[in-house]
Amino acid sequence: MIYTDTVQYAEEVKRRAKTIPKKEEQKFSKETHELITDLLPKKFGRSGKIWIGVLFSICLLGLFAYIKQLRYGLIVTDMRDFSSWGIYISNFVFFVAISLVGSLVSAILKLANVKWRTPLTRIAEVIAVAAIVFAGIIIIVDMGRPERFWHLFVYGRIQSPIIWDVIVISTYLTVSLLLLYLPLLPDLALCKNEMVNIPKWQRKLYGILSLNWKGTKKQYQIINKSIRVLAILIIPLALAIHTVTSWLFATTFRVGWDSTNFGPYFVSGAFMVGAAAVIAGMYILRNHYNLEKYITHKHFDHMGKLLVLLSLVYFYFNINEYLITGYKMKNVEGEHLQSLFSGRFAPMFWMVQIFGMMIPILVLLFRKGRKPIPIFVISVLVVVGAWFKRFLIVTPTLMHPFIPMQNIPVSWTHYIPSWEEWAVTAGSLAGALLLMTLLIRLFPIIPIWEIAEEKGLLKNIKSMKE
Amino acid sequence: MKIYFLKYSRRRSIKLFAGIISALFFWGSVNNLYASAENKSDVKSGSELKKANIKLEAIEIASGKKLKAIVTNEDGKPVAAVELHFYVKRNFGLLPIEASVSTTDETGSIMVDFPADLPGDSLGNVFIIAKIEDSEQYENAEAHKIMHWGIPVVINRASQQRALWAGRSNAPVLLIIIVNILLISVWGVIIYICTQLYKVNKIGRSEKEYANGKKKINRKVPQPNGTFHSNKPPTFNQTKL
Repeated sequence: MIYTDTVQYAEEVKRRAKTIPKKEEQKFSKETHELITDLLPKKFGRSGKIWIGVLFSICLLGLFAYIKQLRYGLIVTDMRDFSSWGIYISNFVFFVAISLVGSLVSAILKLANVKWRTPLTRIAEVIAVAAIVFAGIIIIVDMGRPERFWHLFVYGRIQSPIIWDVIVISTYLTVSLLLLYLPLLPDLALCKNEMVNIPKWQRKLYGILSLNWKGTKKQYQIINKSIRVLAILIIPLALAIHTVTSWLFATTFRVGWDSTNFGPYFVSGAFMVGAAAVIAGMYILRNHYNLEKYITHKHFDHMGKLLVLLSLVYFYFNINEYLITGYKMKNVEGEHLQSLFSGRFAPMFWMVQIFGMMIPILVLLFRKGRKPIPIFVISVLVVVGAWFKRFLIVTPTLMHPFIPMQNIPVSWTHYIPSWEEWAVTAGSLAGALLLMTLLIRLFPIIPIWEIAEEKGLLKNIKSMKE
Repeated sequence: MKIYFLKYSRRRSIKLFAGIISALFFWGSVNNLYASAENKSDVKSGSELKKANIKLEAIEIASGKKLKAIVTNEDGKPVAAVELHFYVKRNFGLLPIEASVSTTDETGSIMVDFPADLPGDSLGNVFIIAKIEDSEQYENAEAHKIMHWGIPVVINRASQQRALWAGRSNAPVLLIIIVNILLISVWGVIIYICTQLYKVNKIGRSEKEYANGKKKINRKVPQPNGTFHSNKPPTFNQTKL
């Protein structure tokens, strides 16, 4: 990276000097040293601290709103008889969707033997783990009595898709954690051995988590085999997690949800938003940690192509979802679609379809659109659009019940989330970003050993030698 | 007779708990109910009441189904002016089948209509009871008869079937099997991966101990005599760069 600002350059040098061994103390070749210097976790600079502070403040605000909700009950939300699911559930579906990216990059691309995915795997896994953790948290927030959560396990009906979702989410979280952790082992040993000026607890943490990693052939064999097994296992699990989430809707007899298209429609949308999230993450990390050598234009180009493919698949399922129903416009279904196409929800619906799907497809079809800056902007549009898309899936349907509700206040027929709901939702989104940031702060965001292996440098690093 | 005293099991007045205590608790307390007559002369001792027998007959005639009861005294003579109550047994109690209480005539007999629309059990059987209750002259007595006079009730046992809409204890067997197979296989793999992590740790610990010289090497390498044994320390690739 070329530094135009000398202060910025000085700051970067100072920051690296804090955790990386000095040149005269080096025991590696220049290339190996550079690799380690570039990729070992770095202390937060000023911008990093501000970022953490902002996220933490939003989390605190969310926590405050949630405590208020616990104290007074769900009455503090705008959820009433009509809209019994609100932005909490939209947010939950969004988190589950975004978590699918872990399986896309770590498993599908790995099994397809795609070489360029190496620097992106950990970014994808970190996003997946943070998202699925907060999917679990937000679903508890949506419960009026969170202390009864355990009832799901004790009294839950195995016939209920909600129980299937609980089972699949907890399993997916476990497998995602393992898929993040296993490839981390060699890097954790490296962090323990090579990072200097780090607190004792951090070194101890690396020591415990690295499981006495010595880089023996047998150890490599074990983790490579285990990663392969997990990569195979996580694909059906990823499909299951979002299909079951779609069944929470599709198994009910409600307009807009009563659709056999829902499973693939949700899964394709999830892969699309997940890929966009990885691209956004790649761009931010590349710029912040100067990873231009590792995350190159080629990576953005490939991810752009992947995103446009996924967007086209999602577009196809959107046509199935809206066009076929819209062709018939049956009674309440028609009313529901009219509220989306030209009614109350039309501005949001068309914004989401145009900016969250059509424009990304058009832009990403061209090589110039897959350059880092345009693809970053497009990815942010896709992610934001995906959040609102989940809102459009959840709320408008609830406004069109089959059995008319009578003698209720007019306000119940609308759903405008209260500030508590917005605060809790923003808090959960900030919490997921905070968790990602902390994971990035503690662990190398690009798998050092895999890059070293590709470059033939693995034998040069004692804790990693094969 | 007047109820004048309620003994609450915890020696507190039940009034204090009106609307507060649960129904179960209330009926538990009613077990300790004491009743007393203000005028004890109204209460006759058992020995003063006469015994009576009831003979219950079921008659089917063109105009409908009728119940005929004949009340006789200990000598077998018909007794007149005795109040009789007719009931049909239901799940949780007795259903009176006559609106008003009927009284026997001079022949000691009484005839009542049996309703045509009364549900019976699944075969249409009804358990009919004729009773003398709280009579001033006669002890309590009863006679019963089972007749095939009810409308057979077809009980809808859908909620008890193994189905997707049934309770958790009646989940379809196939679903339970599939879910459990999936759970066991997936979590089996997860447990297998955890054992692999344990192996990684074990290998690393052994390597550490070899390196520190705390443990003798136990690596098996072929020996000239054909056996596999060696105490040679491990060799590390200590490439210095």
